[in-house]
Amino acid sequence: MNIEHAELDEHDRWLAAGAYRHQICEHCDRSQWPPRPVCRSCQGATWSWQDFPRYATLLSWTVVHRSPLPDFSGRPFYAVGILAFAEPGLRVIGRLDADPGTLAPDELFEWSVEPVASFGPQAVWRRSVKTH
Amino acid sequence: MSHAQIVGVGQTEFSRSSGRSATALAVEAVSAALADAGLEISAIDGVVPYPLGPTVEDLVGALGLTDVSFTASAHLGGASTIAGLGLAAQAVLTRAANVVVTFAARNGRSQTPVHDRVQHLAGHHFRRRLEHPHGLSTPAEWYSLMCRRHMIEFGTSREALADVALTMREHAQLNPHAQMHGRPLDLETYFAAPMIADPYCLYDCCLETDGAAAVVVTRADMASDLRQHPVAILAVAEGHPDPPDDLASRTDLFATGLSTAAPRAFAISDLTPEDVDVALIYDCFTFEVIQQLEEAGFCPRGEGGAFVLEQGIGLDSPLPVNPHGGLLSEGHLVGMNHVVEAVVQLRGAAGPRQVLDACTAVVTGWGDLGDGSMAVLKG
Repeated sequence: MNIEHAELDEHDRWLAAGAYRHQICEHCDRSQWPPRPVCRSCQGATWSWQDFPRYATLLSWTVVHRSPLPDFSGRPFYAVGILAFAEPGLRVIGRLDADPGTLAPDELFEWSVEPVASFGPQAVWRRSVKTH
Repeated sequence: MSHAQIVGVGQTEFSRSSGRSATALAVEAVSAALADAGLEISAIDGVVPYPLGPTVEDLVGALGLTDVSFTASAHLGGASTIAGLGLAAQAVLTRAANVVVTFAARNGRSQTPVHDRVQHLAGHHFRRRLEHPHGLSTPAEWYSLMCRRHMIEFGTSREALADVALTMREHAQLNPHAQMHGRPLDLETYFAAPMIADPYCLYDCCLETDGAAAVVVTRADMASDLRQHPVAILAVAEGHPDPPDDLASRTDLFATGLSTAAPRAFAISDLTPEDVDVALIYDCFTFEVIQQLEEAGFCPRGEGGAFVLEQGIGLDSPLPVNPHGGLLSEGHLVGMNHVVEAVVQLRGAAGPRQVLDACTAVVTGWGDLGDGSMAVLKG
């Protein structure tokens, strides 16, 4: 068993169960992303895991035309963005299942966990029908 | 106060396929730098390699050096060259060594492409586990996220990016050593280019290069007898964004290592951006020139696009940037070629691309997810 990134493994186990979760420090209650072995605020090393909120706003995105990743290299262009959660103030990278030409900043997106190529279950983001 | 001095510079040809090993390239560049300084190879007693590529032992073994008393590498991705210049300066000033060579050498086009090199950068476990599954994996893609946010917040345009690309290409036409010498670029070609990671098109992305560059550093008391007029290293500073190993989670996308390194370097050298005659800016992509002009204090944050479009960064502008064509059009030697160009400019030896009366230069470094470094040099 590789113990070097146990917290990333834990995050992946939640994804395998259909849940997209982040760490909460059990000492100071601070939410943290990306998953790390200690809390950046208090250096506590015990965690609970909480669902990310369902919705986030689109902070920025890129449209990838030539990916060197084997799972993405054959695809036509696709969008990947930075999604910003209002509360807690965490931000994640997420692939956007949307027409890249129609994207606009601050749009509301929501995630769902789905199998992605060889990566297994991952959060995939689509425009939310909910308004702010 | 005595400063460390750059007394020799050397570079190989920059090409798409060198036909020789990175160590052979390093030996060629280092040898040229020592010859430029008028020093024997055996005088080298300090070695500061770029953290990827030929090691201390590769160079020491190849050159037959018998008494090396200082070795170190910085670990800031592409910003390691400038930070490494600072290590070389510290070594001679503390008398850990007398003649330090710092170099970068690689077959970056023919052997080690960028998507292989990035696995050595900070936070690669986050890239692989949290970003590859979403299709994000290259520096062009990471930095284009910053660029688009800058466009959203400040109205920075593709025209501003194009201006950087075209200016670098114009400069390369005056530099026979540049890979893009003889290959001019116009606006129509820029806008017709294929997209790589929108908003970055082909011409927003720097070259990949086989080659090497090296620089020799000594103390002032040793520099005055040598072949070239020495260039003083007034200051070198490094800085890191928070967190250094992840971009998306950063609360301020535009606060990078240079944001703290530049003010530090200016303070140490008792100079301001207004004192700079020529700027060598780490141009891995066009937008990073705009961003670094802002974070180094040459203009306020958000105004970098207007800066390049209105006052320009060409040889005739108040602040010429990268007279040699930069990483975008000379070649990608992780900014060691920017140190070489700064020295050539400050010696007054740049010929048709000479910035008149160039006396003070800054050289920036950029690496990883925004690590930064800056050197202030004086001729």
